[in-house]
Amino acid sequence: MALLEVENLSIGYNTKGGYLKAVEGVSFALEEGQSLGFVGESGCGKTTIGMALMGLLPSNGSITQGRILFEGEDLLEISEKKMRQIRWGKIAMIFQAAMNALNPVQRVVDQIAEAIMTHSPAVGKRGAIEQVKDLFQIVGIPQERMRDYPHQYSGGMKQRAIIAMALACRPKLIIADEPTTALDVIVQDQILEETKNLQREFNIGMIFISHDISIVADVSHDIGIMYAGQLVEYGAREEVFESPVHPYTKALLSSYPTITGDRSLLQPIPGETPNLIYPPDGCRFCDRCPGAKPGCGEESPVWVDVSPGHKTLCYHC
Amino acid sequence: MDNQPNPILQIEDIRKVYKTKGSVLGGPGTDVVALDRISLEIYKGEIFGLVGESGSGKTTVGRLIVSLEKANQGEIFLDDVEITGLKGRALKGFRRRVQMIFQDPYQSLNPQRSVYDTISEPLAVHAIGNPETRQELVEEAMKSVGLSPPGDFLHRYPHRLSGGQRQRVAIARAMVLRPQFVIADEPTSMLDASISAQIFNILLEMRENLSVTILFITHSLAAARYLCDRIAVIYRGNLMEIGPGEEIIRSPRHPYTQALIDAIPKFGHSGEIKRYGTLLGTEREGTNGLCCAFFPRCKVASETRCGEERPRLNECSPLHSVACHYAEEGFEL
Repeated sequence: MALLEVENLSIGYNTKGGYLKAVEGVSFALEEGQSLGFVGESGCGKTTIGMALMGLLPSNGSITQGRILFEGEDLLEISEKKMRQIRWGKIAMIFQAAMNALNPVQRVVDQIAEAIMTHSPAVGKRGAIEQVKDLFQIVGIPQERMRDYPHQYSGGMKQRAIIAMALACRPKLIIADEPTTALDVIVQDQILEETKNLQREFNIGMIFISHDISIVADVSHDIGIMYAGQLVEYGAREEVFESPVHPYTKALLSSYPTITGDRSLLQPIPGETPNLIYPPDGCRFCDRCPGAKPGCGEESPVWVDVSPGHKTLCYHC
Repeated sequence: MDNQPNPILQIEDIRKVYKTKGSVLGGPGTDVVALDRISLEIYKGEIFGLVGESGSGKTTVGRLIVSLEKANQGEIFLDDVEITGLKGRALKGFRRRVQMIFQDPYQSLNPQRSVYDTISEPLAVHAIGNPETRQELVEEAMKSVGLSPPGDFLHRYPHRLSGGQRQRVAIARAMVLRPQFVIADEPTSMLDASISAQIFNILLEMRENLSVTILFITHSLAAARYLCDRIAVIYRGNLMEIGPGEEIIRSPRHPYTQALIDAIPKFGHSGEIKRYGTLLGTEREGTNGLCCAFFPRCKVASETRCGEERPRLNECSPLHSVACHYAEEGFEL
């Protein structure tokens, strides 16, 4: 049984302008100890998926369709009380802009200890602090900095503290939403390396969410490319990056400057992403697609298998 | 570029210190050295990349050049005219020739001004043309950044523009005066990859068609490699390495540049990735204010040399200079 199976998930938001279809018909699965990366540009729905998995959608958001099976149990069917145990206990999240996720007027050690005590009151304060000590060792923060306040930490240390907090209850699944966006490249590299090691050591399933292909490529076994609320290509990392099939994946890869290989002209994707309150009929990438054919704008595309485990949402590739 | 590069901008021995406020209890403020005696030349018609991490001083360089701030020491020359002391009419003339594109197009545009108002304002300030000719100049600038047909955008306000369109407006505003020199400070850090690439290509076209010189300030070596003829790497207010872009990427000489390149995630090239491994696992104490800026994190450094004496930029091959005691003789790890 997979650790997580998401089937045909659709999520929308009530907004002033109308009903926004943020995520539509997304399905994927994650095995224990594996990692999955979602890449897409702003507004593609990747963060919404993360929030839905945590049961933390904002009040104007709702799941209109689909199932989220975690260890075989549908998270959309269980009580809020049960969900509260699973959230942080079994599924933890590293939020975007983690620098702001710490309480500025509480010592870092107390914040993490509190999270531990909330989920296992039997541990007691002293026991919780012992656990924090271990966690800091794991994520590489010196012990003598435990009693500091968040403002005394550098950006990288705050990020490590946030990772420590995510690990605190020994979760089975961690969702990392842009975990390194605000960090400098050297610190980012250290944090990603650390994360990979922790994942292996504790056999944690991970979902990485980022707009930055290179980060996701670095840490994920499987990759899902998202565009305008839909998953458009899905497969093993090597497959998706070395032989991409969906025109959007190809376009995204060739719009990204690298330091390896030849310095070739970047191919920007013309146009802008569609409005998801009135999504276009047919394929959503059709307007910007260099290979669009008559009919792409009318009929919704269906999933096509490229090779075992590698599939794409496009007729023509 | 000609064989004899022709500098348009020269920065000489610039030092900038920010003073922090003391504590409310009367504790003393401290001095933060943002730029520590930096010198560099930017050649006519090139795109010059200034690459550094947050807090490295890269934005301060840009702000000093456009006279948004004053240096504590040193001189800046544009076309051989010293600019730090300019006042009045001369300063206004200078501002017409040097323009800036800011990082965040969500903040750099006035929400209460239409696209036309925004782009035509510099023309009004510098009393160029009359209303009709101004409209023509504005439309021309808009077309050159891909906002066409201009009629569709002229009377829109920023809230009705996407991030990419806003940044195009900001570029058009900078370019409408036909400046000689433009500073682009992280112009794409708020934009998605596919839109960033559009902006990069607009900057390349500008250089081609309007022969403007561009200082491109960025944290991304990959973006600098794509756009720039030459790249300078800055760390904690010190220039570490400067040279032709491709050479800096393929054969970096400074241990810090090498550590940066190590840290960039490489994708699509699984297999043989060479690591330089110049970054120290745990930082060591900087001995004193004189040590090399990278000394605390450098695996190559020696206590006696790098800990005592700050290295100066030295040419290691034509156009390529490095500030490292060990770059010349080479080092093995």
